[in-house]
Amino acid sequence: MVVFLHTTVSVGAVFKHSGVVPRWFGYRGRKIAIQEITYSWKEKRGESTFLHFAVTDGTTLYDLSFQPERLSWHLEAVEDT
Amino acid sequence: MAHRTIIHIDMDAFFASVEQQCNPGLRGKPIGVVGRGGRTVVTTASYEARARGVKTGMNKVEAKRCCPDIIFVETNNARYTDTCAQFVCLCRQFTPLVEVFSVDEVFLDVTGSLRLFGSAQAIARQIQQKIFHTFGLTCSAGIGPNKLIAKLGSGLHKPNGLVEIPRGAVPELLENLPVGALCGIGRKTEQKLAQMGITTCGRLGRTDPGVLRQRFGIIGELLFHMGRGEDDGPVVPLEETPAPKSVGHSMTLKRDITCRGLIAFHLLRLSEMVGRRTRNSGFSGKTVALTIRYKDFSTFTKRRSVSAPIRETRDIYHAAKNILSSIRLDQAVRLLGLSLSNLVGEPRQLPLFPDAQRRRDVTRAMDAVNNKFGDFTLTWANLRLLEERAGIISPAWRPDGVRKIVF
Repeated sequence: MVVFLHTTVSVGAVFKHSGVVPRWFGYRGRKIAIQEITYSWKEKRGESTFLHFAVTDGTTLYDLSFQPERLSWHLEAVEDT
Repeated sequence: MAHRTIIHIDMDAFFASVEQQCNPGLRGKPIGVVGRGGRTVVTTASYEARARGVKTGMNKVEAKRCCPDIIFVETNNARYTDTCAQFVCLCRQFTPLVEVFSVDEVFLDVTGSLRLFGSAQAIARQIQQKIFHTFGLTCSAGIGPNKLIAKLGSGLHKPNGLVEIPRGAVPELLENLPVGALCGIGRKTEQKLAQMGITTCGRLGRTDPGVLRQRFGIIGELLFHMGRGEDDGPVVPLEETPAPKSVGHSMTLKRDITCRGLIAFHLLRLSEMVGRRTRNSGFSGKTVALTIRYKDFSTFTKRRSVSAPIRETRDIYHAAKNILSSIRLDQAVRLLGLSLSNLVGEPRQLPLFPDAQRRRDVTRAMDAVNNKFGDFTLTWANLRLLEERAGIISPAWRPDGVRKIVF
């Protein structure tokens, strides 16, 4: 079941020439290490661009979004796999 | 026309494949991508679901009956449209002549690229490898002397297929091929051709074009050429796509309704969607068309032209309401569609009355807010009562221009 959140989260990410790659994020008091980025895509909301990353820690799927203009990360959704 | 080499790339079970790539828990399982809301159909089924008989267009009950363990996944249009935009860019590495046929299909004219990249097969294989490496998705490729044959080829060996049909092999391939296998010949045309005793492309290509013109009008000539595998339609890149003839939106209602007041709410939403896209594209229009589909799926469209071009939401809404008031609703309404056609450029005439100028200023201000923060951030109070719906990606969607809808 997918739970939609859109909540601000702290994320550790690496910035490479090919873009930004999230490595871990904080959720419910835990530091969650990202095992795999399964998909990524861009979404436009008005003039703002959000970079989405579907990531998994091995058991749960998360949708993280990064808004470059504000340098902010959100946890958009959580789904048990 | 000089000999051409055309490639058709068709993503395999596109939406379903994207969802399976996103969620490892769905890989290898039968899934159906559906719209939001209860009354929705399967827009794409995974190959695992297709093997169990699930087809595009089935409602959820039918799909469950074929495949009891099917998993329904709600559509995420932003994922698919962004992936499309990216794989179009990828194809442009091989030729500037890339035509977006739909959200999951492109044509490439590689006639001028062969010297640089070797062969069409080499180009197609590289595209398949790059798409797999970038997205984890597979696609099928068809290579032919024109768009019709290239598209036929990509469908012959799916998924992850690559079929080249040389010019000389076309007559033999088409001889016994059912006419319905050709892109552009739908069920109704297929039935009409069958009534004439024409069921194969070979037979179609040998039929007197005059007889076909008599039966089908101007497209009879086109059908004759299609039967012979002839198609001199160019590959049209996005920047050369002709301007649209209309701007429209439609929506399937959550439940069938008879109340005219409720129908008017939905018309206001459609008017705002049509109006915004028309204004953002620098057009206005003179003809408003209202489409109604009843619960028994019978559908009709009524049009009305206005004296001066319009683009304001209120003007489109009033025109739509006038059309609605002239219709006697025989049944509950399942679907509403609204479009503005007879398009012209932005109106240059300044409004004569202060009221009209004020309304135009309000529209401009609303558009500015919605352009910055997203559609319906600021909207008509009535529309707050309506639930948001995730639209289906129209076959006319394109990654740029007036046909680009942001989901």
